[in-house]
Amino acid sequence: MTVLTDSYDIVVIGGGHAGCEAALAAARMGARTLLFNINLDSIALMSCNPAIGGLAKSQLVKEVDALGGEMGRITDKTAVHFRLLNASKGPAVQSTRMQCDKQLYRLTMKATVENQANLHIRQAMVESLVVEDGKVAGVLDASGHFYGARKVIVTTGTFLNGLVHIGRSQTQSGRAGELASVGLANQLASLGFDMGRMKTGTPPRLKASTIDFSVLERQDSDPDPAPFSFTTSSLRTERLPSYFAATCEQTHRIIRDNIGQSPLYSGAIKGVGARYCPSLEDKVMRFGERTSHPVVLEHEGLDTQEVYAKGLGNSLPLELQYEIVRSVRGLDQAEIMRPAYAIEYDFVQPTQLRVTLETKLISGLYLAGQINGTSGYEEAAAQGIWAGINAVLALTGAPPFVLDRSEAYMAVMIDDLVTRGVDEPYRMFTSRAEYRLILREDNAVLRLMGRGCELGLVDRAHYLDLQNQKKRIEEGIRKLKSSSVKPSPDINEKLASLLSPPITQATTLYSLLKRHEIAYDDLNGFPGWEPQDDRFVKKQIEIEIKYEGYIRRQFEATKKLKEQEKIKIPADFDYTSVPGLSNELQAKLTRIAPATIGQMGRIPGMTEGAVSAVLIMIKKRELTHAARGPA
Amino acid sequence: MVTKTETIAAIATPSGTAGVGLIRVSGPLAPELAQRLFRPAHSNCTWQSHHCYHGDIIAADGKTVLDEVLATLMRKPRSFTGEDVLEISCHGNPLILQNIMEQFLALGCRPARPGEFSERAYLNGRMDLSQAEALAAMICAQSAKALQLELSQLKGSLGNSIDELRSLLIDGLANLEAAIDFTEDVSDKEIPAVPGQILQAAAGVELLLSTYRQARLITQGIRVVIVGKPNTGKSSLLNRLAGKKKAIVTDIPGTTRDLITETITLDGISIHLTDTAGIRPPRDDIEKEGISLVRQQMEQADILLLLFDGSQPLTDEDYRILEQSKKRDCQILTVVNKRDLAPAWDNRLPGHPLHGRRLLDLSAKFGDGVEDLKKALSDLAGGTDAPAEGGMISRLRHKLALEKALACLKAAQNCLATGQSSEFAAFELSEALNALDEITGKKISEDVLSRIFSGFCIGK
Repeated sequence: MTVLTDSYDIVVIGGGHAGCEAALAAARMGARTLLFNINLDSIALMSCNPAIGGLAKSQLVKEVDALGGEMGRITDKTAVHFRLLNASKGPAVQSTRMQCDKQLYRLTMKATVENQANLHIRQAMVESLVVEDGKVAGVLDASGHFYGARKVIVTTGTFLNGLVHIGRSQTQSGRAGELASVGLANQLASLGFDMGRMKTGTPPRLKASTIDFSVLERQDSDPDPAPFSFTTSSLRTERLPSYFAATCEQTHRIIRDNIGQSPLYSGAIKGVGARYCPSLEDKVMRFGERTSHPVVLEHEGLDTQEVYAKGLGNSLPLELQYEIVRSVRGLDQAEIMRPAYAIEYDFVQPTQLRVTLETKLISGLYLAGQINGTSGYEEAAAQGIWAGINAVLALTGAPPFVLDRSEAYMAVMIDDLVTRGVDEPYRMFTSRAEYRLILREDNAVLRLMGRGCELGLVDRAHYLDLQNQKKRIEEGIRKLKSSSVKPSPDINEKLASLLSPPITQATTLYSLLKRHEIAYDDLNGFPGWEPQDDRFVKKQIEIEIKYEGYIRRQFEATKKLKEQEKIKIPADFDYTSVPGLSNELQAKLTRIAPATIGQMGRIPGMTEGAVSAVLIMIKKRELTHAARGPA
Repeated sequence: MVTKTETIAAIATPSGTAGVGLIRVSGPLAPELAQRLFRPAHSNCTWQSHHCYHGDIIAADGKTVLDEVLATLMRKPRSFTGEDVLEISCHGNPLILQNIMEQFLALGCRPARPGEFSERAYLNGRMDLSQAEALAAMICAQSAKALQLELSQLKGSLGNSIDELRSLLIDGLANLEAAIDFTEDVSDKEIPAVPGQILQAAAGVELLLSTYRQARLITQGIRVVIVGKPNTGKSSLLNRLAGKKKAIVTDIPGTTRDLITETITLDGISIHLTDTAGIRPPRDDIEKEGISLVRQQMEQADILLLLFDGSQPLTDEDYRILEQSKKRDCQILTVVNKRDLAPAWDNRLPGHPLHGRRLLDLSAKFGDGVEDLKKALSDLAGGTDAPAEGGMISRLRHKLALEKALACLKAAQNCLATGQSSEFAAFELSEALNALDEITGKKISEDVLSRIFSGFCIGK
């Protein structure tokens, strides 16, 4: 008889967007990995909207992809509607957003994790962690079965003590219709974690055949979309349109007249919702002067009637939801297939995490995704891959995988989480990234693929391709710098046709391309111009030339950050030994235990004086250690 | 948590006998020591924060009365250092002060290092950087106006002005960022093309920058350099203004070879007077060196005081000095000495080299007209102006930061005016904010997003 050894290097609890990336990264780096989900049919479910990407989130998707993650690839395979947001703005704030066929997305991810070597999948509810001497040793499922684990990554999303609200009804669920995870939530609290409660919600799903699309403004997919993943060569051909609708005064009246029935306003909901994602009740009550709010209808897939009604999110009783939906022009006959609802859930204040996403309290325990107080599939995926990589590196004591705020959006997010903590669901915004001019979706591979390759998560062949492209970008720029045109009627006429001022002296193609109104291909026919058939190469040449000044200044600005990030604060640093530092600051610093002087400076309420004082102590300490010499 | 923060104590009043003396104690032990060493005269002493109690200081033996004092406990964080602070006002005998200090030291306090109270205040965020600088400067301010300026900065006048500018920029940034990050929620119609806040902030920065010269004059004083050919009475004038005999006066031209300086105060402003060697073709090396020093001084002067002899016809040497002074970018006072003697020339005549110039006639020897000169000096120094209300900048560090901020604001305006995508203007605004934050040591952080959420309706 063979003895079943349920023992793993890495155990991941929760197969959502964070969990899948964490498990895949771990398995691909060679760790024996187990991924749990309460229900295997809801692996990688898109619980809310059917889209991946969007402003600042597309950067995360591209970064996950550059590190060998799966989200971008599967989105490319399953997307049916494509938009480039902020297309009229500069490249740093442009973002790709793709609507997917939800079921196809889920099934494709499910197949990917199922087929991954080293990765085991198990349907079970994890009831508790097994912790020995402050170190995680494994988990117990609801049936009492023990699984040994060297590292555990918890990616439970909204499932910890999840409570779904529709009007006055409250149901313990991790998502409408699914079991909540209560045991694990309570155990985390009893282990000593500082937990909080948040609230999110999702709008109703309507039946397409009951919507009068003919009276709504239709938005078609962009004609020539670019994929998320550098590995994607072609996208699906089926397309689904979206539609714009709007609420009206009648809608708002229904809400105002019945606001007492909303758990948000009756006091039933205690969790904190996001200011950027208010429900319709909030919008109506807070922006009373507005007579209309936008509604966007998005198909949830090719083979379903379900339509996501963005903008109609609320937590009112179903009969009122009907009234609200039907007050909107085009929806007067609409049938609700899934009611809107609000959900409250527990999260762990992320200042209790190290920058690797390992908890400070329990060694070997990592948290990623919504449990850290974030929202969004992309935010979850980015944390998932980050935690997965670091958990594996920690198995062998290898140095952790940490990026700084000038290298990636994911680093901005994780630094914000572990340094500042959260007081509302955290979503990525481009304005959170102080170095956003150099953290673009278009250059994510250039920034990170090398790291992905080192970690063994990116194919060498792909990396070599990228190196070739890099070379062609440099050559292309050099060529434009060395090719110049003299003023001539011919040339100036051409410039005039591009609405560009004439030249009066010999000018390089490089300087011409710096002009706002001139694109790379506009220079076709100018002496020295060469065609670029590689879309990526061409775009990089354009961006690097056009925005050269800003890019240079932004890099300049990163120097100070890099210097401060280089100065590590020893893990055993005693803040009570800093003379004159107030008890409040000492306590805060001891709790957050910043890893670097840079991180310390970003803690809310920190003073410049305190940073200098700690800096001086560290320098002194280094000097005394140096004087003593090696032991 | 066990704290290791030491409690510090110091005699805050200058050494020597005085009417009253002050001992200041800051740190976690302060409340406990107050209870231990102070015996209140009345039973209603509850050690309410910021209340002054009357009583005795008792030695550690619990019996000996050391002095009758007033004691005030200021509880954290509303104290100068942000820690618990105890202040004891006692009689100003150095022996009493020393005795009381010894009690505090015996009970666990450590003598404070110079400036340590301020250091703790800064460390704990009770003062921003501009306030800490002002405090340091205030303690050694040399004139009433300088004191007033530093005090207003210590009370946060500059910090407040900077905060107002920050607030404008954060509003402007919120407008720009809303259009970037919430392009689906916020229509471009809701966003002004060039946020008025940028223009307003730029004007504010310019206003602050414009105070630099005057603030500099107030804090550093004004350098007045007296120049003229030999024997016009420069040294006599210096002595007259200083009210004492500082420079040697003789009838021999070229007596003054070195620079003689003296500081006087006019209307609360320090005036640094410099007497110089008379300018003429030098007769020897020492005089040559002296004259070259004069030229250096002329370079650094805030005000050049050109002195002519009214009793002698003007010579080529006078004309040369006049020409040199015209090349200098500073204020000029033209003064004619020796009005006690018969005048040798009249500048009202057309064609006179000094025609049309306002002249100040005086007699350095007898003092006639010297008051007029003092008034003219004071007027030029802006001595009668009150310091600007919105704060003034007197430090080069602040000036450089503001200039950087202004350049970024102009660049931001230009970005928007030329139709560039708004993230570039936003970049310039963040850089401007960083520059402003160099002055006070604050950070932008979440401010921008909060403004966006409070102003626009956003969400799915």
